[in-house]
Amino acid sequence: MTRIFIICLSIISAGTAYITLTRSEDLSGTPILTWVTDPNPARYEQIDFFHDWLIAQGHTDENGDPIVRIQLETGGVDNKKIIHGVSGVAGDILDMYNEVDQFKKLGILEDLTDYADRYGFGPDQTYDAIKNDIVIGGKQFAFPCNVTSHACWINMDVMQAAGIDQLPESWTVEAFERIGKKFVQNMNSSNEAQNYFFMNNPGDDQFVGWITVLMRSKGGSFYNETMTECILDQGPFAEMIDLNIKWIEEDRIFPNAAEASSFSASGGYGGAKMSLFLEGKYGMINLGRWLLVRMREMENPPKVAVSRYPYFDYENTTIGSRCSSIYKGSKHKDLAALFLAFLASDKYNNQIVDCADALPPNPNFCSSQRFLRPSEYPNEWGAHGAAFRSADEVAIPDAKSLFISQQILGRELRTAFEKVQSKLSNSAIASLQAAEAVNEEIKRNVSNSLRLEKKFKNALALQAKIDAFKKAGKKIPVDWISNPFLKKYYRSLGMLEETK
Amino acid sequence: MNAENVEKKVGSGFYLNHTLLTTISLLMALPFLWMLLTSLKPLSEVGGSHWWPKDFKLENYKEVFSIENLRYGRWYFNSLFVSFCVTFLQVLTSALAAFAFSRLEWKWRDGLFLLYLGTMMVPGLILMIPNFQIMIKLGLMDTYLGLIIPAAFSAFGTFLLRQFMMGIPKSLDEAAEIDGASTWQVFWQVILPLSRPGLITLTIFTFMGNYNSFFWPIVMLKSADKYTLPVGLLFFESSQGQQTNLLMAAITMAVIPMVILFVLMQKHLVKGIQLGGVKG
Amino acid sequence: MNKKRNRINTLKGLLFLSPNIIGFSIFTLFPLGFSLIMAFSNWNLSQHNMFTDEPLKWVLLQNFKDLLGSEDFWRYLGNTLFFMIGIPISMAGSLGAALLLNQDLKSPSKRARSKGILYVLPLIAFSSLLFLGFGMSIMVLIVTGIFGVIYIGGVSGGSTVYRTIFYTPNFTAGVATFILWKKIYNPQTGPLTTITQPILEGVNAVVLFLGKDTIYIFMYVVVVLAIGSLYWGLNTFLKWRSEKDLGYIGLIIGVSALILPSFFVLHWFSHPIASQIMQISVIATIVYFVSQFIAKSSDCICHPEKGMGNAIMLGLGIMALQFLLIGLSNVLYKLPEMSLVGISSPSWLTDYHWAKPSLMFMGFWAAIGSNSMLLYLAALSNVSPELSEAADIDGATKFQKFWNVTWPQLAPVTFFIFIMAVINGMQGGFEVAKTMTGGGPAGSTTTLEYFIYEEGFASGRLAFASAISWILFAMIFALTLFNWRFGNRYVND
Repeated sequence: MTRIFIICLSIISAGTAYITLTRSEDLSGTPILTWVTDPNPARYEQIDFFHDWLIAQGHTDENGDPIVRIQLETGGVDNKKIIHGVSGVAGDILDMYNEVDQFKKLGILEDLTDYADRYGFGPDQTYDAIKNDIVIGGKQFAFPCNVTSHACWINMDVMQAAGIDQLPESWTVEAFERIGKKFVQNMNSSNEAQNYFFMNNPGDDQFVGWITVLMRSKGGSFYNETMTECILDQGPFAEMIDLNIKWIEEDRIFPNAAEASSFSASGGYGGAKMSLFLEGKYGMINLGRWLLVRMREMENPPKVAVSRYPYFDYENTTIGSRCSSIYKGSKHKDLAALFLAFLASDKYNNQIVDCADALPPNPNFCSSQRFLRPSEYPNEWGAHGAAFRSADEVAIPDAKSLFISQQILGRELRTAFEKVQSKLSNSAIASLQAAEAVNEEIKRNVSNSLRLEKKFKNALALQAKIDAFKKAGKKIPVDWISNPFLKKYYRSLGMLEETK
Repeated sequence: MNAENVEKKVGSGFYLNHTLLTTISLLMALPFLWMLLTSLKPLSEVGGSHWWPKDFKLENYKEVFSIENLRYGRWYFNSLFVSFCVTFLQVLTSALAAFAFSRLEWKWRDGLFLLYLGTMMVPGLILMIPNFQIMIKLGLMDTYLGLIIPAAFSAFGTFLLRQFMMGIPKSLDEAAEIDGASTWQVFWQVILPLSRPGLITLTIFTFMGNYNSFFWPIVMLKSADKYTLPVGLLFFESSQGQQTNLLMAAITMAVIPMVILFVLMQKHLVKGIQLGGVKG
Repeated sequence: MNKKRNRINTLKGLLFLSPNIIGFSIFTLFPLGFSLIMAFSNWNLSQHNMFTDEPLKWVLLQNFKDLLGSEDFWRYLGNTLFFMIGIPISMAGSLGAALLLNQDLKSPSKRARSKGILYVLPLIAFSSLLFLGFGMSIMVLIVTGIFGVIYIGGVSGGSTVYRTIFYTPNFTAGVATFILWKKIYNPQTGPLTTITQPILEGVNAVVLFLGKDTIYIFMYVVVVLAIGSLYWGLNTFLKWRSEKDLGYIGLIIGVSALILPSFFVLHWFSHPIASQIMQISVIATIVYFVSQFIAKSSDCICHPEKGMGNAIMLGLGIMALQFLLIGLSNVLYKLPEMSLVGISSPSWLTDYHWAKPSLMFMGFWAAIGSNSMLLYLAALSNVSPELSEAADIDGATKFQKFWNVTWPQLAPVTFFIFIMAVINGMQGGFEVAKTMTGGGPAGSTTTLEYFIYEEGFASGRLAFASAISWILFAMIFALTLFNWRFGNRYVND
């Protein structure tokens, strides 16, 4: 026993010695910022660009080196950021995906309004539709690294094989379904298992976004005007559940969950659906522009085109972004602000244009030939412009209520869908139950917090006034409405009274 | 037994046994085989439904080490080091505690043991946030110690070893005590060697569990040079996208220490018992 | 003097315990106490943290009330318990594996070893050729090849080879295992579907050929069998009781296990006439036996805990049998209707009703080479050879030898494994659900642990998550206390 004990101890000491010897201590004294983001290889390039940019802008120390350096920390599982954030140990710069409001609620984001003024990364430097996400209560909390607006990315080679030469850039649900059925019929022989699908099932991983767009195009919203109540049960949600199930099970234009996961060996960004798309099993895929990053690695990339999401009456799509914010617990907020200034710079915008990760934060960069017709990739010409127009012309930001987390809404929506799909319930009952669950959660959140309670009461009073105006057919003052979709939708119907 | 007798035995059950065992082995080894074969495929074959690679690509294994920003070698070391320390400390502390719970008679023994047992019944997830705060207060965030220390004390390990030690006849330590051995000597020279199967079992369990542990390291670690393999592999997966073949090569290599440990230990497991030959 | 010795002993005990208990207090006890206190508050990460100034409110029992009043909780508890039904089967699996591995597998002579290899080689070659001749895929060849390799390795290397291979699922835990099972369960190309589809088609043809009435006759036969097994079980208890081998505690547990399926019948069984027959006869049987037990209660007095282990084993065994039979009869009832449209294999993991059994089946597979197998192996090599040799001389059969010699000696380890399995089963299921099904479809694979994760980490409601944990603790504690009290007795019997 003593011998084993001593052997173990000496192994541990040897390991400790090795660790001590290999510890790299940075003695230069340059502050190091931590950037919590995904470990996409492009991030390393962006870090180098940032260091170059600092030198070019004259942010250097006496040796001519950048005054600050950036180190990448991967987010890992999503909760890590939250756990670190609320415990005071998160990185200096936090990247978020459409969840700025969530992190703002946690209280861990720094107010950037003044920095933005000083360094020029205000909300005017990006899309109008993004403003809603990064400015909360009149204060700016983030700046987008890149902007993603979902659309249908089409493999034109496969479409042509199915005898479909051209797809409209903008189409109704009816046209979408018709063309989809034709595709499925032409590509699959009738007596074998179906191998080709018109599109991946957009509800698989983008369920909320996809349903949002369809619902909105019928004038439906998840929340009421002041986002104090979930009105799933009143809108076309139930109908959309049935429609999607019909597309999966009856028309077979989308694969079912099992079919979609049949090649789930491939994980990572893009996941199985991207592999299936690139293999030509799907005619289209709902993704952002970053699909091109993987496509460019292929030897013979297919010709691609972009169509918007289909609509019933009111055309729209979602828009989101990966945003960077400064952590409230950071010790180098001034220096971190420089990084956000870098995100608004020409250098960064052009890098995003070139690497096709997403749309650049500043829409002005989307009209150049560099964006529209990258010389090395003629197969992509045409797609870029359409992708930008979708984001620029019809995108409406998500309605995010102050009183509930978007995640819970998403969970309830999914559960409702799965209940109907598993034939446990019909769509009307399922959507009613989902609405009840969400409203219950709103009530619980409100009763938990005095601050929320006050805001909620005010919002309820406003809602009562809006309801009265609607009933009387009077025009509603635009300031009363906080739901971004309903604001835009009512405006298009001429129901609003604009403030001057 | 004479030789003739043995020959007879071999005739009947021997082949059947082996065939049965081989069949089960095959079923059990399927994931491993799939992983191994996928790790030998070129990228273009990964999506296919065939198992056997058309082109063998051994270079995958070399490539794992050469990917930029991926410090596979270092992660390998980290995992081994952390798991080793955790296993050593956990077996040691558990053995001490188990000894106190099984071989000594004292006042609060049963009450404390019940408390130990009770803590196993609360889902561990709920401990994570408070534990994380404690680690921050102790300044152990993003350190090796932060991974090692919380895992070094285990109610399960104590329970397991206690059960093993209970089976050792009381007369043995009484005899040693009459010979004038101190309590420590009884523990170190009598009980520990006799509970070898238990110690080895716990060693295997602890090492495997810690080597594969994922949730805690991912929350505790910030800097890439301290990653353990599971955290590193997640990083790998999200940064290298679809290169499942490389990922599988990385995992296959990661498995090797566990296999070696198991093969070595399980031999001792049998030998230890035969040597000890103790029944309660 | 004695007092002083006691004090010294206590000091000694604490000294040995000290390294463990210090860490244990900091990293387990303290957080546990903290979470217990927090369960009575409205702690929500998103509202109460170092950057917000929202005051923490004490809501006392509100969290527990909400929890026990929520439909989800009971559903997820049901899911958790459903998964736990598999524990005895899993344990049997690991015991079986351990028994197989514990045999003397090293062939005593070199000749036998080479003979073993020689016998098998042509067999493998022949079967591969056969498969290839039938145009089977190369996969078959690979499988046969690997089979041969393992076999030869096993014959020459003994049990070490098999043990290591049996244990491999633990090495590849997580990633590779889950990916593989997803492939197996793929309803389009997965091997499970490929195997079951022809069988189901065969069944379909048979059903159509036999017609509805014949199938219904089978159904009645199965129903009668189910009632018969209930009768037989109760009768056995009665016999044991009159032989003074069964105390009332064992009787109550055994009988409740026996009649549990009958309660489910009232919900499940859907054929009107068979259902009525079933209900009437079940009630009649129960009434008959209850009166018998009461009538004979005076002359079978024995220790209340006597024979408990046997009663539980028999009760559980017949319970499983009854569930199977009733399930089968239900399937038979539905078959004619189903075969008209054609029976096809389900889409396993994404089907609401099949997702749970699919994950359970995966659990059985994992159990064969699990840690329990190792524990059994360790215990088996402790079984004293003298006793088994004595049984040999008595001319006992293999089964008798196992039942009378080996099994009683395995009781302590069985007991340990069972306790741990119950504890882990109650608080398990998170990893599998997260990677395989995401808790779905429609929450059918969400266990309580996954629920805790969802509430605590996804929604940030840590107080509520704590409340779930402590309710769960209370249940596990009660179960373990029960196991401990009666299990110990059984083990020491």
